[in-house]
Amino acid sequence: MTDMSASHTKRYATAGDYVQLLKPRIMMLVVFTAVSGLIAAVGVTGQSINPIMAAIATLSIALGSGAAGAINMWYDSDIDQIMTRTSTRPIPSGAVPREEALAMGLIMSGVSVMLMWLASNWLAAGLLAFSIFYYGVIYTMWLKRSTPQNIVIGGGAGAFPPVIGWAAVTGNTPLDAWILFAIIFFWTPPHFWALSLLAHGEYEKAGVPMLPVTHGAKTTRNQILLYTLLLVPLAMTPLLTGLGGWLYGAVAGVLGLAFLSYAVRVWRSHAGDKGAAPADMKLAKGMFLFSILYLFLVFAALIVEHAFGLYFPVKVF
Amino acid sequence: MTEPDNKYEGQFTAPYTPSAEEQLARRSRNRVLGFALATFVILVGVVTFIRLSSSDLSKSGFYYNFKDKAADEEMELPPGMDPDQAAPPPSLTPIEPEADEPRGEDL
Repeated sequence: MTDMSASHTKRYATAGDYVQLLKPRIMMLVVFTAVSGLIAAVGVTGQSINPIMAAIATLSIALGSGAAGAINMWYDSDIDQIMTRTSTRPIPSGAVPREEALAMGLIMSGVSVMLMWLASNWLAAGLLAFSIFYYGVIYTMWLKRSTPQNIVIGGGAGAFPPVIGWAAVTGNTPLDAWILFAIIFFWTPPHFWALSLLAHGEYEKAGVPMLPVTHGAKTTRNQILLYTLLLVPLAMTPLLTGLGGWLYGAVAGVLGLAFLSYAVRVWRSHAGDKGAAPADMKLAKGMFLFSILYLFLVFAALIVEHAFGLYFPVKVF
Repeated sequence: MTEPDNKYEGQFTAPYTPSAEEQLARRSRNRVLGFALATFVILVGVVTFIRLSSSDLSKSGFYYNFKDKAADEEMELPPGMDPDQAAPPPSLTPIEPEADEPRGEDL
């Protein structure tokens, strides 16, 4: 890797540049899903956690997410410089030296895991440490540049937060926590591949083997539909275990059908193909944006049910 | 005798003077770093306080417990005896300690 700062005009890093290193938008979704895991754990198991400890545990997860983001930006600075979408990030723009990003990532990793251990228990701290390792090393350093399944396997990193939140309250990770993990795990491929249909030219330029680059847009659209077909029924399983009630079921059901409708329309379109119509590309973008809304509302439904006493179980059997 | 002014000429580079823009950026970063460190110290302090105050040792009164814990625990009755038989007669009232008599808690 080369020194990115050399090719750019000298710019002095502000605090905002260091905040950008933490990938704040990803951090928000991570924190949100972690909080929903934490609240669902309290609601389902009846166990409690000191509110200040819960806040510190949530902060630890945010710090851990930021640490993983900084490590990712350190390692990917060479390809970030090539892609237009990422070329304005703090390292390729020359504001932050790569070594500083790495040091920041490593220090924050240690601090986040230590705080989590102090605020909750070793299991939550261990899961947090593993998720940072998963994103920073397994996904960023290994999978991302070596396999078109990078997003599928790497999605595990982003799926850990609700499990960590659950473990912070109860000290264990029962089936319900892993259902939340699975929802995010199966949500990640259609979410990210919808984006990669729009930006596969950039990934190709940078040499990242994203599915549309290696197998073409048609295969990607098939895979988007396949994973959405798996996700929609999976998102209804909380009704079977008692994790979600009527409200959750209604939200997950309606949004699931809408998500599936997007996936079918993208599957039938030519999004990502050479010379695809603007309407098709708009559809892929629409699906990408809707997928964010989907995850946000599904987890919000869980929070509302368990935090505001609106949980009414569905008697399935 | 005085040394010539140019004795060390060429041996040292001129000290680096950061520009106003760089100084501003440094100051902003240092402030955030200072705030982050202070927050970390406070958080560790708060966590330590909460953990110690809610620990099992504190809950059980491990350090200062003059209460006889055995009295709080329900006694196992002998076979054939029901709780009514084991209860003290209703005419008995607990004896209040004398006002000037020192109590365990006051020791």
